[in-house]
Amino acid sequence: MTQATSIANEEIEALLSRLQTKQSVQSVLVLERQTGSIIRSSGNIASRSNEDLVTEYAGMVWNFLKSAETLVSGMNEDDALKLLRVRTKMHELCIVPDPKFLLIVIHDTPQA
Amino acid sequence: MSSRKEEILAKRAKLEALKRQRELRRDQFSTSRSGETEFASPQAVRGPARLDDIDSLIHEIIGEGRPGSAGPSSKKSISRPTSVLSAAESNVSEHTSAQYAVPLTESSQHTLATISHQVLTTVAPRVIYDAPPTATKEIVTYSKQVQTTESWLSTGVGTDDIEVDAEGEPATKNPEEEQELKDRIKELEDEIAALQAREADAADIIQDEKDSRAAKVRELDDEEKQVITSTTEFADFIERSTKVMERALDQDYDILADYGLGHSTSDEDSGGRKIKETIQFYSDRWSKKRIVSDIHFSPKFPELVLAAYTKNPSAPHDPNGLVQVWNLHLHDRPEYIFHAQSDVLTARFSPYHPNLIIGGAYSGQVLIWDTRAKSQSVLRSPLTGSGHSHPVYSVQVVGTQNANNIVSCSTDGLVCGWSMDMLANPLEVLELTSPSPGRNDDLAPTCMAFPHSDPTYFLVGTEEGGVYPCHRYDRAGAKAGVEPRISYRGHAGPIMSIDFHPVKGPVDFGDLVLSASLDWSVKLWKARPPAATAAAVVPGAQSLVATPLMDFAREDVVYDAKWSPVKPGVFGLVDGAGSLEVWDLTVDVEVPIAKVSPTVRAGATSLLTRSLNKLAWEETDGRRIAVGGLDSTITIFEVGGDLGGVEGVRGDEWGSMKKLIGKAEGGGGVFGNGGAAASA
Repeated sequence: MTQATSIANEEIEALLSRLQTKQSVQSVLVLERQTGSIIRSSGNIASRSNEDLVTEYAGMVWNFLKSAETLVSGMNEDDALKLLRVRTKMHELCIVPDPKFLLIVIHDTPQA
Repeated sequence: MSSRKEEILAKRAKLEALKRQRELRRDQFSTSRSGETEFASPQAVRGPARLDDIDSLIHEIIGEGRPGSAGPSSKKSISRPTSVLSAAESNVSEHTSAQYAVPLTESSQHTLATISHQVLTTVAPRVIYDAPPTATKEIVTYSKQVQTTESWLSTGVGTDDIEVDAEGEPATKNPEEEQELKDRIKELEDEIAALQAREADAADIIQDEKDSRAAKVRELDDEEKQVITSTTEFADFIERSTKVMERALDQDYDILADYGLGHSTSDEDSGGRKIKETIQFYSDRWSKKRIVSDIHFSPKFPELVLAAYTKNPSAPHDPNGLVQVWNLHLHDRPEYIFHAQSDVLTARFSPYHPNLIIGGAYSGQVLIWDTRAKSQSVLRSPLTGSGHSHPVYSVQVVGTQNANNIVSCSTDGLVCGWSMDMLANPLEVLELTSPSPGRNDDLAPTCMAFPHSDPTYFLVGTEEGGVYPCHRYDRAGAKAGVEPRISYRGHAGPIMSIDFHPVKGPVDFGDLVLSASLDWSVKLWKARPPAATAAAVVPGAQSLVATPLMDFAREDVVYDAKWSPVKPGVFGLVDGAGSLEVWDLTVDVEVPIAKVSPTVRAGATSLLTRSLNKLAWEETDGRRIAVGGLDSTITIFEVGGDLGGVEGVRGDEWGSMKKLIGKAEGGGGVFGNGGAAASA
């Protein structure tokens, strides 16, 4: 069992680091859906040894997600949020919500 | 928030007004009780000597005018001691009564006086707080408000009427009013209290939100992280979400692109005959040192392409066999990975089940993987038993949507038919033996192809270079197995691939067969329908040896040749030198239209790894070709409009192809080759 989980952990690490090493990707965050607690963080915002920044980002994203959820469920009770892409002038935020977790990637958008 | 505050302010104002009025009432009551001066209160005016008063008033009005009108106005100013406006307002009313009230009758004058009095006492405070007085303000406006707003005002008016009739009434009425006002005030106070409480709540909520943002979103400690990350749930989530994320990131097209901004793209015109390399698929973890043994595009999802791989000799702990499904929208990671115990030599999507992938392995196993399941095969044939015991280099799914099975062929000449649902035992077993006596009995098929129209008959290409037609079942005049009376000879080396022409146009070229061989050539054949061979050949006669319609000599061993799924005269081939060539017979039968080599992957060992093994066309519109070979990389090429794409098919292509085939056949098809056909 422990063997199996460690392998799974390795795979998780590998998948996340692959994501992180993509050249446009700046930060990768994994949050808990219910509380918004940070499970993992890497990249720009995490590396600045500024923990407040990570929690602040996470909080903002989480709040944003909650309001998006309200919007979606307000339009149709049975509907559910699947993917959020927020394009800004400089970045794009991709958020993949899951019943229990959230994956957030902040990356540079191609020059337009 | 501000609206709530305003509400509170308004309520307070009202409350103030009510309180003031109550005081006023109390004053009035007390003054009327003490019975002081006539002018002290309105009640006094309507005392017992009222009629006399009115008479004298009328006299005064008629006689002097001005003093008469001054009467009520002076009363007004007394009755509104708290009002800031009183002077100005009374002035206004004074003027109006002075100017317009003169012609009025006695009774109307009186009513006017009483009404205006009532108006001013009850409403003016409210008006004062609502808006400062302006020159345009008129009494009429106030009266309107009085009549329409508060219900208790009407009772006040009613009281007035009663007062006129009976003297004692006001005294008895006042406590009621008092009570009413008190109630009202209490009500308002309650409301204000409620509003304040609510506001406080709201502030608390905001505070809570702020707190929660700060407090709830926190970094979990290592132990908690460990607990969460070790759940399979989390692993599943990561697996799924990263895939979605990578697809999102790999999306080349920028949906926010603004073409008005004038990009300096030097996109060379993707000319009709160009071939452009688009993507290369290679995974460090899995593709390394494996040879691509087969490629197939999904018939259902044109963006999916599967690749089968042989084993990685330097990784004994990894599974030997591997199938990766690549997605054109997911660039550096396979969509699915499937394993097998033994090298996978061939694999393809089932045309009738978009989730199933059928493979053949070096061990002789036939396997089925399911994209809905994990990486292990969901079904596999046993290693022992009645199945294959030699490498399976070719599998096909034949039949129709409702009745189909797998046909596999191993190098010992065994052909097996399998049910899609059960691979424990083959449904049918057919052993192919060499038709010509004198040679070794066994046939060693390397490849197999079914015509599109007939699932009971197929061609096999063999190691010794012959192509033989075979029947799956006994039929009139022919036994199941290799058709002994005809063989297609011409290749001097092992056949690496056979491909029937796809039937998708106005002319049926379904009997045209392309074969690629290690003898450095590709040959075009016309397959005889099995019924015709049975009828045409006299039993016992020498077996007929068919010769190719055309012969395309190349500069290297040819590993694979495949017809385009949409263009009648187009086919692609890959060779040992690592080139992909695309031919169009309707344009040129001697040289390829285009020839490219995939870019060499950075870090690939250069020697002897350029050779390309397999080629596959994208099946729905024939715009893409996937090739792969020794260097474990899958390369996707896009072909120009003249070589692929459904909309680009010219009407005359079918005609010229038909003419070409006719000439090749007529011009002594036996010796017909590329040169002859070109000159004809």
